[in-house]
Amino acid sequence: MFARQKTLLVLLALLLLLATVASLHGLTQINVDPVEQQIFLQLRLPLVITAVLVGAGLAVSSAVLQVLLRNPLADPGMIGITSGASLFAAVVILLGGTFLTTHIQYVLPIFCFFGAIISTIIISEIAKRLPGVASAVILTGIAISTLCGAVIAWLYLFSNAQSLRNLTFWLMGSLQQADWTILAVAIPLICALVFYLIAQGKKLNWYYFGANEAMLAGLDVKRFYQRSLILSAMLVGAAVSVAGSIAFVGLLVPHLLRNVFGFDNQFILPASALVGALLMVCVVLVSGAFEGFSVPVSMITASLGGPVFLLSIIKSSKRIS
Amino acid sequence: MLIFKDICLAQRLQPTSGEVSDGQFVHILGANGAGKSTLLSLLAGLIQPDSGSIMFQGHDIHQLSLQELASKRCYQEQKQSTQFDLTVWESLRFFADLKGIPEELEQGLEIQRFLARKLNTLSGGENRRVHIARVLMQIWPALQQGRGVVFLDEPIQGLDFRHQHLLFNLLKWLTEQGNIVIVSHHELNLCYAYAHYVWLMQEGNITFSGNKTDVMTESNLQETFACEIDVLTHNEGLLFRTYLN
Repeated sequence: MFARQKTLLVLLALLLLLATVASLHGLTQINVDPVEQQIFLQLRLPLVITAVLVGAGLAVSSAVLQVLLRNPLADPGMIGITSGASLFAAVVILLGGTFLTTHIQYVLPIFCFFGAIISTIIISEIAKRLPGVASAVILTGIAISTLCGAVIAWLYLFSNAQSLRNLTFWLMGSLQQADWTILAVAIPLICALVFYLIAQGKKLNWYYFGANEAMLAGLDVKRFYQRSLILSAMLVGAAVSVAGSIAFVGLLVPHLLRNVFGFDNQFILPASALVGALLMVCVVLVSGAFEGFSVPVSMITASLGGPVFLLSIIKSSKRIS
Repeated sequence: MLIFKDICLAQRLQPTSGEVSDGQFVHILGANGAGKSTLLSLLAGLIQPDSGSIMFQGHDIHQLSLQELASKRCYQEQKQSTQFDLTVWESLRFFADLKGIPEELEQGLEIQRFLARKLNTLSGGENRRVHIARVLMQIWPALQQGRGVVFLDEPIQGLDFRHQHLLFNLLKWLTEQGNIVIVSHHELNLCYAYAHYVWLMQEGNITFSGNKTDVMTESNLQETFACEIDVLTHNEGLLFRTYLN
């Protein structure tokens, strides 16, 4: 147990170090130069905080969803949360009038969160009717994703080139959308959800063998399942609202951690939060290398995550054979 | 003491009553679909009966909190399955705050040597032994005090002869401490060797119940299993031979 606490402390120290490097990258006169101070306060710090929040949120929610849905490869996209948010983003970006597009910085996160919440309500209703039936939630997610994809495709037909370009970039994720106003809501919301879900680690361990075994171990399964599902979905909704759709982080981080450190969620959940945050801070550092243009986050996460994930699958298949 | 009165479940269990005193080892026998698993699930509090009551140590089990119940009774379902690549030790540790395998459990289940292995690399019998260890470890403190109730659904399925006897010796030892143990299975000879009481079930009913020598007669068993069963006298007791005409 002590070794695990040490690992978490090392990860935390590494996160603080990299976050500091990413925040101060290229700022050599910050003590005396007011311009650099403004860059730090208004651009870099919100960017790094967004990265930490989004990375931790996506990784923790996926770590929880994978156990609840009894699918080691589950991620927020699988239960339709991201699609619900994407549909509402598409409505604002492609159909938004002058008012909406002028204030898009604030309107977009609000609409995305509503989209995510509506998806969550549908999922929660299904989960209430079929408690503990993971496949029902996954199938509902596929149905929501298909439906949202179809509506977005219809919207494409009636949109101009600039709007399409904006939507495509949003769908690939960006950490630069959030400012302090958005973060004032996102920080307490995401932190509260992350800490609440991390505290459920012991109960989540009982869920590895399904709802019956968890109930026999003393868990109020119906309540726990619905609450954890809804709060995980809200966490995804909050993360997608501030940074758009980001691929692979949720799927990759808990999967790799469980491969290396085992399955104890009392360790995996906080470690997922830290590694998810670390990964997104690395994305900030990598994207900082491309001077002059903004690289969509999903391009970097997918480029980093795809090969690592493939290697992990090959390693697992070798071990099984 | 476990007392259940007129418990029933639509299409699965007719109104059924019974009583089990502390320290009793009860074996439930019956053909497939006779209602053995349903009865165990109801008694363990996993599913609620349509009507009737189940009293456990003087309390209605549905009035007890889930945590209280989980610290006093354990139930091994017929299957344990997980999509995750857990090790044996992880699967045990998540359900019990113990530092290691209790000595009595190890003697009865012999699982120490594959604690580091992944669950999905175990054979069916090994997996069954780990599953039983997990449910017993969940209430081990209560079992040590002789205040636990153990429900096992077909625990010897897949076990070799040695481990069938080791397991039943362990369960017998648990009843000697004052615990109640209720198991379902299909082995007449093991039942006769270890049971204190026997319940025979047919079509959602306990049709015969009582002392094993009174219940395990040729006619009762033949009626229960719809199969020819000879009860042979042996110098150390009885032997049961089954066949079809």
